[in-house]
Amino acid sequence: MSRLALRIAVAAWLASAAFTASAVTIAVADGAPQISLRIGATGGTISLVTFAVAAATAGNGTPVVGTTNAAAGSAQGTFAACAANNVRVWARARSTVANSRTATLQVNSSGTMTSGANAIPFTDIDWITSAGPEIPSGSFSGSATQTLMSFMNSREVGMCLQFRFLNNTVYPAGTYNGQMTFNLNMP
Amino acid sequence: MKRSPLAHRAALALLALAAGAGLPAHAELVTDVAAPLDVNARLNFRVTYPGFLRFRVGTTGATINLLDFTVPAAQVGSGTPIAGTGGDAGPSGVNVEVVANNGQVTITPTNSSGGLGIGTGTATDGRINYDQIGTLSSVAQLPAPILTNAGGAPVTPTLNTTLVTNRTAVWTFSYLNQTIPSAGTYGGATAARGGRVTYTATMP
Repeated sequence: MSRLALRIAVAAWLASAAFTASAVTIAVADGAPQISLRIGATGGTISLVTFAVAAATAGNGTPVVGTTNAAAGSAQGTFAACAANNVRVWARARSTVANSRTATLQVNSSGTMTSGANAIPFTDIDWITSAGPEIPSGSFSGSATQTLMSFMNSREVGMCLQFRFLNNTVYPAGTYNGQMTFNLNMP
Repeated sequence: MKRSPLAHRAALALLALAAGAGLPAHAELVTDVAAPLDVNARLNFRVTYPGFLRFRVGTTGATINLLDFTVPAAQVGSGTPIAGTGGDAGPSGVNVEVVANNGQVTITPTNSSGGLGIGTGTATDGRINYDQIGTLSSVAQLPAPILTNAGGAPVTPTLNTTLVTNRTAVWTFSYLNQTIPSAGTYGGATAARGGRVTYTATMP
């Protein structure tokens, strides 16, 4: 083990002792370049976040909190399970030399959720980060390349996000569906 | 640098854990080991949006506003409009809001006079016709119906977008004061005197 790798590992262990495991960046051993990304559930499932808007408050500007199942926020390694209705976001980047490369997580929020000919933009959704400081609470910008966070290898990071429908606009009745793609890359 | 045995053991345990962690290559937990290192994971969103129609005239809740016009003796029948009191948007005005999402909204007025106009409760006093009640809207896209003894002509608020209406306005009422009725208190909270107007909003 290199001197550098040892120091990083000890620092991570000490940090784990001081905070909950879900709120720290965990160091991983250097090795052959590799990146991993998890959004929501594992096991081949694409998680679904649902917003049910009430007729009495539709379009009044009071955010509607999204719901999802427990699998979407389940534990990942040392990162504990998220609170109910949160989505687990987890990323890991490894390379042969620690702190030599930068991994970047982006999201394409340029699309819409559609119901027939009607559409709701993804900019009508924001999120509250309940665990993990790497992605602060924010909202989707509508960009195809909105950067959510960057981190140096060799680390893994885990967050829990609760999504909200902002409810600022009145839309035609319908069931709107859309899919967002998150991208992790490490040049 | 001298390393403590504790630190060594902790570090080794942590690194072993990290290195040994399995990474299933499932759709939304994805791993890439070949350059360029680039992976995608997806998340689905669904918004269930109800069909609805919300309509407000005046104070929210169960309150029915009473617009009260007092005509000075010196001005009876002069044709000078008389402003009222009792509105929730200034003395003579009421807030109006219509929010709906399934097509063109129509607002239709009816009244409690049975087509006769506003009375005092005593038949011999006569009536004041509803055409003596003027209504102006602050927003052209949410016009105020012109009142008549029969009710009045329906109005259609302008759609904001396809299927969606989201309009607010203040409707301001006045007594037009173009006739000379007998002395008395006409209308009021007693619907049987004919002074209650009901606005009904409908949507396909």
